[in-house]
Amino acid sequence: MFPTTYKKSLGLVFLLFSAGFAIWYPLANLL
Amino acid sequence: MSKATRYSPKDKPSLNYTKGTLLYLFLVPLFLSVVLALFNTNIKAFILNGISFFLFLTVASLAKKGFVQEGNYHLNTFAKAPKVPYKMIAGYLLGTATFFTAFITGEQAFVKSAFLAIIATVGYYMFYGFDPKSDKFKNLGDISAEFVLETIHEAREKMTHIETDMQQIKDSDLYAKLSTAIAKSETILQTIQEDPKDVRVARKFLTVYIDGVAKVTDAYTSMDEKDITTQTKEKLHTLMDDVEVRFDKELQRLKNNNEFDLDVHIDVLKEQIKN
Repeated sequence: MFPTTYKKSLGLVFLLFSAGFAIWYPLANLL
Repeated sequence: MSKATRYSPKDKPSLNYTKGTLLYLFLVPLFLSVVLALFNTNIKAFILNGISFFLFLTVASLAKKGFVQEGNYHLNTFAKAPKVPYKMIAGYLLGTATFFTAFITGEQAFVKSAFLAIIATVGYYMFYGFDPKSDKFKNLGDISAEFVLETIHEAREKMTHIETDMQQIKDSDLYAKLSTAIAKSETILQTIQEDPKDVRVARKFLTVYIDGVAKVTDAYTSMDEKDITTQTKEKLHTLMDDVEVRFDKELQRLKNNNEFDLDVHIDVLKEQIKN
């Protein structure tokens, strides 16, 4: 139960931050 | 006549109904970038951001397809593993989309972009997991899985057809009888999924009876309900009562079949112990 929760949470953080950053760069260039 | 309409949920509720919505969030900043590039008349940025937007949109829709596939797989007791691993394809495409957006559209360093792409892909797999790989075929005996799946699929299609027709039936008594028939067919399908060997026993029921009910509802809904005589309606009600009895018998037969299996296994074990 707990390992799965940790794995999922870490996965979510990885996903949000990396893809989020990648998407932020083009927007920042235009602002 | 009352203006009240019957409540009819469009889709069966699924556990994975909202899964994958998060991926659509990534489209918001990209959409803003496309709009900003358009306002600045920056053609290069407009095209590149547009490509990034479509890459992420494809990721989200492929992943969603994968989640629906996965949901159906988990919902059914008897299921084949998905043929096309949409979840996995979406994962790889997410890496590509992240790399493209950071390196080409966002003009970042190669290493940094590659790092972000790898982390995004790893994160995706950690959060969403992989596609189901193994087929869920239990108690198959000597029957081909394709045959069972096809039979179940055919029956489900006909049941959906009946359910669609039911929306037009205003006779509440008939509606209730049809609902009972559908619920019983669903139980029979469930029993078959749990013990697919029974498909042989139930094949006639699945092809003949459900099809018969579908044809009746079809003919019924093609007419104006007011034009149907009371006599015909009564006949139909009696028929539906018979159908219900028939469905109950079918369920009983399937259960007896399982009992027979149990008897055989008990006898075999008895013999083995004796020897």
